[in-house]
Amino acid sequence: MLHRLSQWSFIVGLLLAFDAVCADYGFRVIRAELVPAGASYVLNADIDYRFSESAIEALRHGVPLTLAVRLKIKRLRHYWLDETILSEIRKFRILYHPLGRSFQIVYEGGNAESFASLTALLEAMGAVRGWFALPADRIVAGNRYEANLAVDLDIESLPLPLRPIAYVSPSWYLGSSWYRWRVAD
Amino acid sequence: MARRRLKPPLSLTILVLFSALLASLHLMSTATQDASQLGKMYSWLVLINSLGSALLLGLVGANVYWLLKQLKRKAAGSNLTARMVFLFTLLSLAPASIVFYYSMQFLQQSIDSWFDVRIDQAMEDALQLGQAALDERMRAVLKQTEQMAEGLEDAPEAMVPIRLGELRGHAEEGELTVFSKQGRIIAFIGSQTGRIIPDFPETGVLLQVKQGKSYVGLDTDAGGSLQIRAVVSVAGEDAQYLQGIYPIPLRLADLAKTVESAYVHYKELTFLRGSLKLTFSLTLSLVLLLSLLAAMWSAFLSIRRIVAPVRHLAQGTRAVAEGNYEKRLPVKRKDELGFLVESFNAMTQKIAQARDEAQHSRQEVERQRAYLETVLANLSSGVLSFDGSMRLLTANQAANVILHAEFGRNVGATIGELTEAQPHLADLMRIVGNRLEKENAVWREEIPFLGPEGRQELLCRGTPLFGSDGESQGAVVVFDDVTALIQAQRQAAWSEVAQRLAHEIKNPLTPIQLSAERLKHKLSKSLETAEAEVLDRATRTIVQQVEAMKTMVNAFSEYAKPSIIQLQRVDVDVLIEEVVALYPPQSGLEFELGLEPALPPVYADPVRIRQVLHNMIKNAQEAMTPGALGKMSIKTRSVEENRHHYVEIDLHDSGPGIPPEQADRIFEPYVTTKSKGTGLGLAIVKKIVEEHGGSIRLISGRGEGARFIIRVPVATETAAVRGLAMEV
Repeated sequence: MLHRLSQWSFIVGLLLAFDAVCADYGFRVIRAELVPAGASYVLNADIDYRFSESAIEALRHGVPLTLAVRLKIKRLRHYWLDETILSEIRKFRILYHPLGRSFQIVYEGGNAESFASLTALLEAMGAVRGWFALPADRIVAGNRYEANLAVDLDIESLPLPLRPIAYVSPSWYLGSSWYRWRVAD
Repeated sequence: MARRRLKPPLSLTILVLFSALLASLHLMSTATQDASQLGKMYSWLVLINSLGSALLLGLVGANVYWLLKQLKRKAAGSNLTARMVFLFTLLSLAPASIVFYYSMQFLQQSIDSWFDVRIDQAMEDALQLGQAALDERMRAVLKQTEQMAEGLEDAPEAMVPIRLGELRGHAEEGELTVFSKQGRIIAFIGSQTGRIIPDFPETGVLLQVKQGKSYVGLDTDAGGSLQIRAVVSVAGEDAQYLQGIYPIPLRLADLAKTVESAYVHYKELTFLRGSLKLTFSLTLSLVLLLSLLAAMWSAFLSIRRIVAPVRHLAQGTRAVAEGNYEKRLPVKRKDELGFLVESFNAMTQKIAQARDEAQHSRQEVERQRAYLETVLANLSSGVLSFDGSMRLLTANQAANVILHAEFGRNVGATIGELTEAQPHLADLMRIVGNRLEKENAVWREEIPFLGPEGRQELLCRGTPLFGSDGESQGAVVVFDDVTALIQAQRQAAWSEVAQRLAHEIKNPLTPIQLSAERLKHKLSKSLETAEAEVLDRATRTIVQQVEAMKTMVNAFSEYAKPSIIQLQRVDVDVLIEEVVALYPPQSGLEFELGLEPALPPVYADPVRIRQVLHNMIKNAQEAMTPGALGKMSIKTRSVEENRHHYVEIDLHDSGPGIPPEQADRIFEPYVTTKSKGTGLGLAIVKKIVEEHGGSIRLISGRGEGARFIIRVPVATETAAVRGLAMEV
């Protein structure tokens, strides 16, 4: 029974992957790691952002797109459910300035970065370096930890008229699957 | 009941549900209209409303299914419900659809009217204008930066900051940075904003500059203000780059930003035009769908409530039609329908009451009729009743017995038809029919009736019946067989005569006889031979006649006095043979015997039965023409009639027979056709036979000789004993 279920899920997964390849859009976390930096752990990750045609078209027409990076760190426990020690969502907006023909990332704190091209923006966005994750003392030696990272397009932040369409159209369902890795202590 | 009380009323539930849906709809439409706080809830609202629609759709679907099932079953009220639901739906659908159609039209047109080609163009032009203005500025900045880079050419690294300061000179704004290929800052002159760390260009820009191309571009800083960034390479031994960042004059920046934001907004609107229409249409459709479904559901609910009493009424009527008057319908309402249901209940109650009463009175009538019938059946008098057109209505058992008929088969027959069916009743029916037709009052008549067992005297009383309006309703004829009564009266009369005769006549006879004998004795000696002979003849005649008279009186008194019979088992055949043996052929009679071999015995007094036989034979002898040889046949047989067993003795002589005018009185004393005899023979025979519980009757035809049939019952032991006891 379990075997058959796993077979099926494998087939479904293949089909989905195939679909994603064919559609040529979707996000993927290529690599991620938590590294200690001083008194804290920081996140380094490489993310491959591939927006769909409709999303890019909307961006070029002045619709800001909000992306949400989700980071979860769990302490693994044998005897009980895993303990979530960090569950964080970081959002940032990307938008297009027609006057300067530039693209801009606006972070939650109001910091902004401008880019002359979309490619430059995507590259910069894809290379996450030194994001503060959590204080170092939260990771205790001897315990086992697992980190999860995913990124998706926040449909709820889209302009209202676009939302119903975005909810039913696959080209707006942009998001990566969870990337999991063990945190080295 | 408790559960019912706990449940909130249906109308309240509906009200709450509708209010919730309405509120949700209102919120959704508000959310659609402006980007307020509600905008965030929009998706949830759409979901809630969609779920509400699905729920209502399910409810309506269930109701439609229920209705279809009812229709298929042809349930009471289902047609009415279907029609009303259809009407309701049509009534709500038609205006809603019209409003929907025109709203959609209006929506499309009004959204389209926001956009205009000219405005479109104007926006583009404004943007280009802004871009042109900025471009000019950028070119100036680039030129200035390049000139500075030229000034820095071949300057030793230590000199660069000083040279840069000189070059900047009076330029009051902007920041200048010189950095190496590796990104090391060689010189930095900040602006008045007081930034300490220079703002490095992005990788793409650096790549471009490293290839020898200068870069100039518009940037938006963290504060959102516009600035021009120019990066150029500085010629020299080491690759060095100069970046100049200059803020755009406030006025120009404001204008540019206004233009850009308006342009972006307009672009976004244009881009979202389709989606906006879709969203509005979705909201509108949801509103329509929800209200329509809600209307349909409430239509179902209210119609079911309205139709429920009608359905109950239909069921009740069906039940009443099937004869179930105990059906009571629930009265739940106080309106006209409730009144109707109440009236129906009252009606069925009345009907049930009336039916019970009718049944009761019918039973009573039936009981009375049965009682009357029993009384009639057990009456000894015969009763015949006729209806207004003189057809037989009823006849009791006594009538059947007395008239030897079976009236049960002739109920409904007229008197004429009765005569045809029972020919022996012809005379009786003629007389009765005449009286019934003519008489309007109670009448009485004694009617002789010749039945199969001889002549019967019937005492008939006719009573015509009249209804309350005086109209003839038929008649009742009551009759009694008074044959035995009349005969008993005659017998009693004769007994009286006999006693008188014995007393008044017999007593003087002895002195007469004695006196005559004394006369003869005293005078015969003293008289002449001739005279003595006369005397002797005269006295002998007197004595003889007196003797004869005595015999006659004795016989008569014997007839009149009550007899004593001694019953015993008697074989009639043996008795007949014994008696016949006493009459030799010289007696003038030749016998022909036809005796049934296994004749059942009778209980009788053999002496008396012998006397009967002697009397009968003597009677035949006397009837014969003197000198001629007469014949007499005696037959016996066993007969069963009306469940009674008889031994029948059939005596038939070859004499002249009995004239019909005397036939009915032949068994009375002194009724005789002969010159000889006492005239009491047959009377005595009849008396003896009747004393034995039997009967004798004459079957006579003139010239065929007299034929008598005697019947004596084959009595059982008990009957015989009872008979004996009666006599003792």
